[in-house]
Amino acid sequence: MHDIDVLIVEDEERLAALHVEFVRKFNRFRAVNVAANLADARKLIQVLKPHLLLLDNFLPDGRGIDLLEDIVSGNISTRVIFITAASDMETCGQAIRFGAFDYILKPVSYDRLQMSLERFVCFFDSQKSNERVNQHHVDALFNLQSKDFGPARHTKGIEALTLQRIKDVFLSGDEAHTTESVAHLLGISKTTARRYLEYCVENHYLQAEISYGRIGRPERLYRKMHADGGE
Amino acid sequence: MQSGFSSATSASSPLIDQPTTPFGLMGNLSFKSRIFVLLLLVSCTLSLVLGLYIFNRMERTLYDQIGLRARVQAQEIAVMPEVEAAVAAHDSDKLYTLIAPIKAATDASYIVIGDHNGMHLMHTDPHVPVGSPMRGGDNYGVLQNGRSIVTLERGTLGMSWRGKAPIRDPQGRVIGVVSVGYFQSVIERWSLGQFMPLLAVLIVSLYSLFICAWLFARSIKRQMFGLEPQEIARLLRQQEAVFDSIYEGVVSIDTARRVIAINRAAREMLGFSPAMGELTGLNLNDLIPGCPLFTASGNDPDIKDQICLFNKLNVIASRVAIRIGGRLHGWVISFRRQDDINTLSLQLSQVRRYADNLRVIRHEHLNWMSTISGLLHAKAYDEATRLIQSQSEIQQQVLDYISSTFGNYHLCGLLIGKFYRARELDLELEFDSGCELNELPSCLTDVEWLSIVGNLLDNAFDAVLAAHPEHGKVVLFLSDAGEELIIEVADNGTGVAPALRDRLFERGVSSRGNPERGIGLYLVKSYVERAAGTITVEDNLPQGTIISVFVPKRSHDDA
Repeated sequence: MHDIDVLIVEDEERLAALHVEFVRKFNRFRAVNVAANLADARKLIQVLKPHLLLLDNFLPDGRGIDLLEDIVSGNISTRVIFITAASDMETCGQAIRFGAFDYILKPVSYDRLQMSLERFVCFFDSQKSNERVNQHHVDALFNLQSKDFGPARHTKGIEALTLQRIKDVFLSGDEAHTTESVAHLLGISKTTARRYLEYCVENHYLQAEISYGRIGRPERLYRKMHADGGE
Repeated sequence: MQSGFSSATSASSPLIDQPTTPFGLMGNLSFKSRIFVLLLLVSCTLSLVLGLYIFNRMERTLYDQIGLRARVQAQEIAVMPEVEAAVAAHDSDKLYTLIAPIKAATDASYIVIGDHNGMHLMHTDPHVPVGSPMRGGDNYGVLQNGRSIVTLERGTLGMSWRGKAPIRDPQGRVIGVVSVGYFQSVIERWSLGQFMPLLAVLIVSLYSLFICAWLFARSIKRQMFGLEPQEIARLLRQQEAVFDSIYEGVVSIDTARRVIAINRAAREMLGFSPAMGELTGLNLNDLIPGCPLFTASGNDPDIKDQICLFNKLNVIASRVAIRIGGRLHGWVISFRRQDDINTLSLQLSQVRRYADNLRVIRHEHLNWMSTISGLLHAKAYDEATRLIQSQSEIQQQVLDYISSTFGNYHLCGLLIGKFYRARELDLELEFDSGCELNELPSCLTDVEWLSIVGNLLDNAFDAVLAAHPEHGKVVLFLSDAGEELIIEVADNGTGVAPALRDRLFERGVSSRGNPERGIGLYLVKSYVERAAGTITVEDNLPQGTIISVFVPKRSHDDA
């Protein structure tokens, strides 16, 4: 069942052929054509209306990012996997803003491309099966697009054991601590101490204040938040 | 700029082209010569008029006195009884013997005695015959009315000034006339003798006036820096045009902080339209309320490139004291929109980044190609594939991590750039696992946030490079999970000397003695202070520095 049309935009012939070869391995995808420059790509998009574009940034007659911008602003339903050189990170950032489905750095890791294509299948199916768009659906689509990397937010780099040890430091009462004193007490690095302490501040277990104490230079002090003094 | 110049030139042209001097002929002379000639002319005329008047008065007085003398002598001779007797007897010889000694004793030119008909009875000049009529026709008043008179008449011997007195017999009848005369030529000689010293005085005073005028003209010329009035006018116009065409705002004030001059750019930036009239003389506080350049006392050193708020406009301003001969005369404040400078520095940094990137790419590619070619040569195909894949894999992971963690496209770009910059410098930029950012607070612009993060990272890179550690590492912790945005950059570099720590954020202060770097942390501090945030500096363990920035996400204005 080849129901997802892919247009490959790549001026390096051998590479384009490899892309085509790779896409063919997936039974859902069909490489409908190869465009070697921007002008051809624009024409083919109009005619073929592909579902997905493998778009290289450096083309003989312009930059792929411009085509991406046109596609986004032109209200065309084609999605784009943006491919550019590792040194061209700036454009990658731009592609993120324009809402590229994904961005892949050259030399292309076919494992990464495979991941991306598989995700597109999920995205394609969920879009097809659920034409009625609700908020939940939009969020899910958004996550499929680019946000589902790494562990869940807010708990990154926080381990229960270390967190408990940090909290224990403040159990004794009103004592105020700096990252330095906490790092010293627990034998952890100052940056780790900062991460945990700020995590506690976020969760209203601790409160932070700026002290201009010792030598006139500001210091950040942490103390336990009182039950009555809390927000 | 162009229009500023041309309009000023056209305005000044009548001043320059028109002959400004009222003395048409002196148009070609220099200012100094003109002043000199004018002074000389005035003093000469004055001396001449004064000299003529004095000479005239002197001559008049001389004539009066000589006339008086002639009349008194005539009267004295007339009342001599012997003379009366001799006249009555018409005895010319007797008269001659009587008068001859008198004539010898007097300075009069001649003495004449006539009878009642006006005929000569005696003349001290023997060439005048007795019995000839007395010339001049001025005897009538003397002979008829018996009065003594002084007259100027042409007599027998020519023009003379004469005093006449009647001779009366004992019955009182007029029987003759005595005339004592002074030749005009003699009087003129006398008067000339008096005029000479006067002339000498006049010449001496004229000469001194001449010198004074020359010195005066020279001193004026020197006070005007050797410039002609037209040149001064042109210079003034030119200075005004230059002043107005400067893109920077310039305000000069005196010691009482009143505005002396303000240029067009300054007016525009401060929001004063030309319709609002002259701003000179205005107090600086009315022009720029609460000007931050003058919060301290007036004696502190010049201020350079301070970020301030002038009438709701962010500017970079400098203050320079004007000292003439060591005495403070006022200050010049110059300022530029901060945006202008930001644009410039942004462009510069982009060009630099681009060049850096090219260098990185070239370097890495060469290494790559040689490694891969070696592997292929050894037929280690799997190894080669792994190497190629691993290279893009790491980058891909970083890209994925950064773009999913930091919810700001500009910041992502910056961090990606810094990450590779660090790699090229052979250090590691590590993102703390607690990093997260939903959005940058709006109290500063994106560019300003980028400047804070970028400068902190650059500073850390430099510190690490200076220390040459085994494994250079910079850790960035950036989080807006709580109420504040926290940016913390930790390095294991040289650390900051305690003496420098308090001044670390001052402009131009760099721990590495590089003045170009000295502005980075200064900018950071300016921005953080504007966002009501705090900066802390700590030592890292075992070595290095941790600089942390805490900025409340909701500024007090929003709350």
